[in-house]
Amino acid sequence: MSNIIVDGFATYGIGVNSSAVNAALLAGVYSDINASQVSVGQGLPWNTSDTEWWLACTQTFSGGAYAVRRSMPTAISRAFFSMHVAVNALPTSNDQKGVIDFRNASNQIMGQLFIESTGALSFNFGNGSADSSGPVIGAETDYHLEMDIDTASKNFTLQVNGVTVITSTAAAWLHTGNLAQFALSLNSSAGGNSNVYVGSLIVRDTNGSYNNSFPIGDRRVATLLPDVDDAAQGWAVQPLHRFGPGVLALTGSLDGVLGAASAASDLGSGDFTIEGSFRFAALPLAGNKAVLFGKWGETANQRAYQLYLGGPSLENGWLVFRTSTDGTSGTVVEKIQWAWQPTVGQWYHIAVSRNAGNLQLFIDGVQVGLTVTDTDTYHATALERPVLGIQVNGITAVANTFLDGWNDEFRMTVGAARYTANFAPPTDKFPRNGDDPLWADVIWLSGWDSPSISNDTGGFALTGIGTANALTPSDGSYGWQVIDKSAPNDTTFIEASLIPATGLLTLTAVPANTETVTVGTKDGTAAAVYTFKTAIASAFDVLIGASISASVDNLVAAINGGVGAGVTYGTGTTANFDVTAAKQPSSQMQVTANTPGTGGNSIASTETLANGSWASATLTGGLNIPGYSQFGFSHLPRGAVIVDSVTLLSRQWKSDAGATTTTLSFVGGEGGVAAGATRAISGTPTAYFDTIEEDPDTTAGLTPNSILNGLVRVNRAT
Amino acid sequence: MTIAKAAISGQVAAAVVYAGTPEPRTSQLAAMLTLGLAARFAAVDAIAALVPYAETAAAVSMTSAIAALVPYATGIHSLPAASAIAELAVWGTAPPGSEARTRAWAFVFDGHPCYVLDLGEEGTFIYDTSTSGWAKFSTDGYVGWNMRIGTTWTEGNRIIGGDTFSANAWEMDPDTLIDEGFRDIYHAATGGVATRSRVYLGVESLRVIGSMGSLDDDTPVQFSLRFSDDNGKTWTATQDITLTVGDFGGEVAWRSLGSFMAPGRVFELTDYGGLQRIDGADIFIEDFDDISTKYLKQYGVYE
Repeated sequence: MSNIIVDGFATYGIGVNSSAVNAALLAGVYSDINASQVSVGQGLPWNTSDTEWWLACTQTFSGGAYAVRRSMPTAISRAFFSMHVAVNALPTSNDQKGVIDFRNASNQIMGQLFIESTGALSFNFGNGSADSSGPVIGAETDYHLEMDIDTASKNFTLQVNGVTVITSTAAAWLHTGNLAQFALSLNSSAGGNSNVYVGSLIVRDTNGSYNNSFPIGDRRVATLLPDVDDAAQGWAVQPLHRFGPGVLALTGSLDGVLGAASAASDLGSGDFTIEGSFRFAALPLAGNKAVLFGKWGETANQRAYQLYLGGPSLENGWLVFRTSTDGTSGTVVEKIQWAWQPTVGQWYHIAVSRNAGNLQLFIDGVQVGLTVTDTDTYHATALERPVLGIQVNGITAVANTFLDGWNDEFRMTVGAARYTANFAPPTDKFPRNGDDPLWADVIWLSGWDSPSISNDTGGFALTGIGTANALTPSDGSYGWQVIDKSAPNDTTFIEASLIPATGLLTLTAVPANTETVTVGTKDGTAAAVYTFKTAIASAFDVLIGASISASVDNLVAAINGGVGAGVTYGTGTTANFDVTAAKQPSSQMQVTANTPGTGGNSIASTETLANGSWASATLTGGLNIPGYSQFGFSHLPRGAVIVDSVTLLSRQWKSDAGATTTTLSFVGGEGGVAAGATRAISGTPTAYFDTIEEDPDTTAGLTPNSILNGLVRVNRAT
Repeated sequence: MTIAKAAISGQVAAAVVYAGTPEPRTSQLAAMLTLGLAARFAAVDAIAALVPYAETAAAVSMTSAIAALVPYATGIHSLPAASAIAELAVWGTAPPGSEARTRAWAFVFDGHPCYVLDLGEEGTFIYDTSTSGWAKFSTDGYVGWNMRIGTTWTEGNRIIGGDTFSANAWEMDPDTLIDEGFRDIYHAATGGVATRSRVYLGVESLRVIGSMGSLDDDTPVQFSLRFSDDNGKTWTATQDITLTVGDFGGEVAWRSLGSFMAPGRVFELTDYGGLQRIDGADIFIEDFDDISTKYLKQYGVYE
């Protein structure tokens, strides 16, 4: 394999001094950048119709700087560099503007290639230089440079457009060592306003038998984006769009949407349903909270109702629905609490509904927590506003309360309950007008498909605050449509799950003596049967508590082998082999399979309780790693005749602390598979490069046709 | 006044790749073609010369225990996600001096007997004996046409040729709209009207009839016209008309094209991935058939 670094600069986004571009450059690609003035863009300032992508350092520094610095995959003694170079103007003085420098592992510069004021090129090796015999570079012209640098022999050869212009042999370099790093687009203020643009970077080593000759000729880098899904699609598509073209973006720290201050949004003591689809970009931190919706003014004691997700140190990170009957903090009651950690980047339908004094919370159509008797008359106020996505006092956003994410199809139905039991979550926009029998009760329905923030009922007006805006995501329902972004866009992606099964036990009364709960096994074989006792005597006995909550605490401790052996559960009880238990704030017990995957769905969960039950006879919801996905790619540039390598570029991350590895492969038209590296994925979006090349595995070569008919396979390995 | 389809330059045929076993080198291929070893090309496939990498996915363990007794709050719902995937292909064009001359050959295509004169770095020239016209064939990225040393083969006189560099064999396919499965085919046709008149003749319009709706993909194609009033020394900027897939009935015409006098006007029609054929083109010139009368009137010969 000889092409060890390939970069077309087309996947970092566009901009000068752009935080997004800078972050993309540093996300697993370049080790250091001049963050203040890196420029990446398509075309050149004097030739905007140019379709190539270029990188430059466009700010001058008295001490000199570079656009980017990159580490070689491994330090080597000899390498070949090919790139395209252009300058807007020749420098005003020598040795100030450069194309590239070569560094050793100690970050010492072994050689620098400068563009001189005459247009000559100079290879400066610290103790001297080797220069071209005359000008070879002119302003506003694209040149192909090909270099052979041998740090062992201290040789350097440079070709410009196929003509050798510098040959330096066994020179007395000031610094030596293997080539470990290089920097591109050197800039210093003493050189004037000349900027050096670099494109189509290819670095080759000397391994193998192919493509490692010098010169190899003019080569360019074509960035091909997915344009079709293959038949096998295992990874789930997570586009940003939900129902209809538009969604509401609430990703600014003071973002929200206000309804009108009126009595229309008072819920009183009657039936209601407030619901919507929510997607988190990030979860609240520390003691912050993410308010989904509410009518909750604190400074004027105008609290009525609010649903929010707490940060880790606020309500244990629970999802909480709370109300007040008089607007003051003294009557605030947290009616429903549920321990829930949503996955960032996934849409959830969330609904709160009250029917004849029975209050329920649903996530994706499944009731969470218990039904709460709630006949309270929520505080009525025409002074406060119903708010989506943040908490406000009046119209002033409260810091650290925003929902960092998106919403779609938000609906408030006042006077009627839409849900009293589990239901199929919506798969499309809510019906409007005559298609909804409860339409007369809908006071707020927003689909955000209009470019403006509006209430589709025609009722009270809405006001966006902060940077809240209705946007139309540029993604689709197919995998390739969410990953074909030339600039990083981590709000639209594909994902591969590995989910443990779960089960939920609900007690409606304190268990009786000798009643049992069975879940999983003790040791992989023998069923783990937990027996409630008034006095514990044996292993797997569980002490009946004074309350449901206390009894569940004891059962959780027994299942987990936690604190309380010999006190709240029998001595000799071993931790459950198959599951881990946790108590929900509703005093329900949730167990989670220790091994994620569908295997957990066969873990039995039974009981002999007179006043309690499992949600199902086995755990549910476990998912295996899906099969791979494959994608076809756009065409090569029209003039392509030779293809000597393919580099697979991906930007990946994982959702949580669980370990995971992925592998990208190039699949040829005849089914051959060239696998890239299996990589451990981190929680931060990171760019990974896998170079697929003909050499030295076989004498057969990549051709434009094999690229055209080839596929990229995305596989989660573990 | 009507001008017929004139000289064609650019590659007009698309290609299908063959996979032989063993893979023939160009030189071997030439020998086979010369000797008529048709059986060596019995296996037809869309792809050749692909790296035969070993399948590795089957060896991947699909499930694995990640952890045991992980506290519920931290979760083990690992969801690796990918937001961007791309291929970075290192590509190049044929380097100078790499296209050697090869022997001439002939084929019959759509009833037109054609003689192929492969002049290496000078290009590839085709003489159509039925129209007595020359055309230049070329492939993007090459100087000449990358289908070389061809022959006709088996029933139906399939037109088979080798490749400039690779071990591929190519077949001309009159029905395929793209070349080698990925290239839009560039077409160029020129025709002209000669005149010795020094009186300017106004061109009302140029109208083209051809396979308008049959394009190589769903992307609209620019069909371009430019013209020269000095025998091709200088040209106007192109004027583009967008062709749409499936629109077979729309009129394709350029109007108000100015005027010209001696030596005449040359029109050039071009597209990438556009028309399979041009049936004909008509130009409408003001009083073109009455030039002499108009000329003489101008100088007072006729009153």
